[in-house]
Amino acid sequence: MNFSDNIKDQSNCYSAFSPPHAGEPPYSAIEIEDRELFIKQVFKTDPSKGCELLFKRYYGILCSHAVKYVYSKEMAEDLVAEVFYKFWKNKYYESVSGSYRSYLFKAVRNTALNQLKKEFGHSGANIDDYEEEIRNGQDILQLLEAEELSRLIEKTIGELPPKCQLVFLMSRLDSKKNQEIARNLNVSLKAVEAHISKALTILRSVIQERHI
Amino acid sequence: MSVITKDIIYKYIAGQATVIQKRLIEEWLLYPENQEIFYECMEEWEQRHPQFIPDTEKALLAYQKRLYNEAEPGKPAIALQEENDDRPLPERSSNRQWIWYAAALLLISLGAAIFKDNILYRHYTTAENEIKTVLLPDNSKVTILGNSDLKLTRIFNWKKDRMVWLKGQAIFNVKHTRDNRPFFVNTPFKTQIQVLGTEFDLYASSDSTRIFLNEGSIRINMDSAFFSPVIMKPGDLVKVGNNNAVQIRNNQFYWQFRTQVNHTLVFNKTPLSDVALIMKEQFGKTIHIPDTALGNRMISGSYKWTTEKDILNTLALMMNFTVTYENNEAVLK
Repeated sequence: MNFSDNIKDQSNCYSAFSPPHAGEPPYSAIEIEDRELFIKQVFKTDPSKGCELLFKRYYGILCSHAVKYVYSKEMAEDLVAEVFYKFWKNKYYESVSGSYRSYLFKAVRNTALNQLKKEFGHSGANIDDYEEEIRNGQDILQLLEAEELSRLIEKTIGELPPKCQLVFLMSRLDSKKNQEIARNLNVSLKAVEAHISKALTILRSVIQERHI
Repeated sequence: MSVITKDIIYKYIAGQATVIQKRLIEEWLLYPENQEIFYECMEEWEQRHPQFIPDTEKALLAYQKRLYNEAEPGKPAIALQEENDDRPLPERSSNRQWIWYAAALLLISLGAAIFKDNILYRHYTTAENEIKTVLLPDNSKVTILGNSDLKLTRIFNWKKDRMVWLKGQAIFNVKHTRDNRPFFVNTPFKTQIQVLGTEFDLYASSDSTRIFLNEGSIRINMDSAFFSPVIMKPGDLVKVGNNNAVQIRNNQFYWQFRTQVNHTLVFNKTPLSDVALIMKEQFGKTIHIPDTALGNRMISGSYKWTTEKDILNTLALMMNFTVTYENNEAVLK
């Protein structure tokens, strides 16, 4: 099989191609362009502007990504904003080897997982700053685990009894106050608190089972 | 041999890949260059299937404001997230900054309790049709128009910052100092004007602020969590209104109310609808222009007046419309 046909030798193109070796890793013929060329240029002269451009471009999708872990829009936004803040403040942009995009995705994922560890994990769980994780090359393992985890969370919340799920989403996802939920759904405050507590307990046990 | 396609990657991201496909992807991901492709697909997928859509503009402004707050020396910095910090996220409103604000509030309220406003400050007030010109200790000149109040501190510590408070309308002519001392004008609505030496018109009401800059440069500091300061250039007009909108227009459509001093209004390609608004603000008369085409017609020139009826009648003659009065409101047709 001649692989060289599929290699495009452009410096701004990533070409997916795995050299043959024992064990046969999967082959893909996907090519992508470097869409960050302009931003990379900007970083050379004005990193602050570069960070802002990255913010404008990726903030939305990063929030959407984060919310799949933390299940709270408010938390997701805070989290992503914090990532961008550190990215600029601690000059992490200087040590990015691949695309800013992949770096930011990893950073957001890591921060989201830390948040989950903090809220639901075993007490005393080790929390690293996202930069360390990326530097340690832990990110691939983490990616795979994280994908599994987010699926698990999705499934767990999906399987909550309907009332419980609704109350939990209104409280956590939309950050509504308990009083407001009780009023909207015409139930007692106690009932709302019970639903939330139940959902959190289930979530906690499921997450802890995975030993994060 | 098996092939990874974008489709499979999307399925994986959506949690719909088969076990076999998952395994494939996981192997494939071990190669760094493939990770880039993966994240490209991730970006595309997230774009097409957003879980929610946050307000990026608003968040960007908050981010900028946070960085700006830290750039200012002497201002309390927002608590930084140290690496390996136990709390991965800051609280919504940073703890330390709140303490400063609370302390400041306490001090202010104490101060107010001790000194009455009249003892500490000096007021220059104008009645409805009065115009006063005040010469400030630093030789800056303020022409205060009708129904307005300018407040200065009696105990003049103008060696440091020059600061005044305006409620109403005034024309400022601020002298530039050798040592580049800034001059601050505080307004009742959310803004603080910071200048070095310049000429500008300020309209400061309780629910909006309007500034027109003639000469020099101004920085407008906003007292709202989500706005970074605005720098104005000559000819800029900035309006700060209730919905927090800050609009900047160049002076083409601006009317110079500075010439009220001579009882003249100057218009420069001002649409009639704007004239109606100006008249409403100056004279309190509501003017209706039912025909939008008429409202869009522009006028230029200077018009002397003693009553607002003067202006309306003059304009009516020039632009060929009629003025009728119904219920104390003017209707232009």
